[in-house]
Amino acid sequence: MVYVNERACDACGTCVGVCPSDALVLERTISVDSQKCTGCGICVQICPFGALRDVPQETTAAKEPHA
Amino acid sequence: MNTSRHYDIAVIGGGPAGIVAATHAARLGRTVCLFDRKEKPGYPVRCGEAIGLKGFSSVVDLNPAWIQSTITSMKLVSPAGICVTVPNDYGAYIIDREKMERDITDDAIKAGVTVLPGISIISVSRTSGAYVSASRTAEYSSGCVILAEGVESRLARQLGWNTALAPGDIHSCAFARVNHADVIPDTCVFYLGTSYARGGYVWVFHRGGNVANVGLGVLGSHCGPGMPKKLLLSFINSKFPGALVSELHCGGVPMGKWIKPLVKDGVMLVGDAGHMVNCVSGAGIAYALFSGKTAGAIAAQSFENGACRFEKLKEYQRQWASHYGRQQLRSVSVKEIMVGFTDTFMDDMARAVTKSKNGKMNILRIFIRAFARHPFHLWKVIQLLR
Repeated sequence: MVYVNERACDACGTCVGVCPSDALVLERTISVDSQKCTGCGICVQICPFGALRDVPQETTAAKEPHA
Repeated sequence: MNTSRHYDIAVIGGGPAGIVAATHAARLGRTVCLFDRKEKPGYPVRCGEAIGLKGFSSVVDLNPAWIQSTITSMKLVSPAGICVTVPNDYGAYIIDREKMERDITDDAIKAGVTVLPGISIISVSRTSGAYVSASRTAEYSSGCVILAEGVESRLARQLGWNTALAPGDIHSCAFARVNHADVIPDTCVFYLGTSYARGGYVWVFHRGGNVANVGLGVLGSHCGPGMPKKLLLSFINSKFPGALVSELHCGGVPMGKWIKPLVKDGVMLVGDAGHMVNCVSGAGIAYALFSGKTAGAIAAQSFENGACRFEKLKEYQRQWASHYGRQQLRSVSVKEIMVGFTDTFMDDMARAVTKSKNGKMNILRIFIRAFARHPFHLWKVIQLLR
């Protein structure tokens, strides 16, 4: 799953252009469809401003019960 | 969900391609709406703002008020710092894209286009007899759709295209406006080499006074998180120490072949959404304007008795292919060779050019000198020319 740092995001859409699974949508900022995201990390590599981060699935799952 | 009135043509994306498409369609008497996800379309400008007069003015009259500088020379800087300066006799300008987009949007409104800023279309679907473009809160129906979404080209995927760019087919870019005394007037400077931007280059375009647009693109396959921004800021620090930096933005530039087909049923792709960028120069405005104008006009002419005849839309791809399509494909081949250039090859090439007598650049001699040391590149160039 991908985490978006909204303060670093410039809303340019580059990540949307490379996402092979159509998991990213740009409106005011980027939102990630966790159902579609395969965690391939291409968007993380491509982001010119480094606004995206890969969060391992286990970490997200582990955090959820306490959220 | 509100369904508003029906339009003949919906244009999604308010960049140059979308605006021009909407304007030309409206001038031919169609009802047209134009969506842009931003409240203020065209801002921030994600562009070096360089245009060539020929391609540009065949679609839009160049307003002198937009011109920031006239480019009279091009300068290439090799990895080792060897400079090659070439005078530029073709009309080339750095323009104020923000002003331009404001003015051509006004033209669109005057032509009768319903401009709807601040609306993100998140899906486009086909129903019987119409296309429905939906935002989170409203639906808009139209007879056909022109997708001008830019590099994202996401809605196209909902309609059966595979527009996802492979990492080797996109430049991840960062750019800024720099104010510094060392900016060279009336010149476009390109810095080549892996230390500046792997698989790409840094560009510095004079924008009047001491101001320049400075940007760089890294080929996606060579990119890491945040790399373009870091490389850009360190370039500015080393070449323009203490410069005033504003408008730091980023973006992606498609660097692959234009999308085939450009038309599916009642949907057309224009501009960056159709991956229409010259992969050597990175220029996309002339292609965007041509594709927008052509798609808009053909869409308008495809209506008969209020209904869009989809088969007529295919003429758009034919016109694009014969006008710019081949040139664009050639630029992809050249880019693929250039990505393989090593720093030493580019230095040898630059040395060969500077050694040739001033004013008498014998291309053959330059090639013999440069390729004698790099036969592999010669082999690739021969393959390209075959």
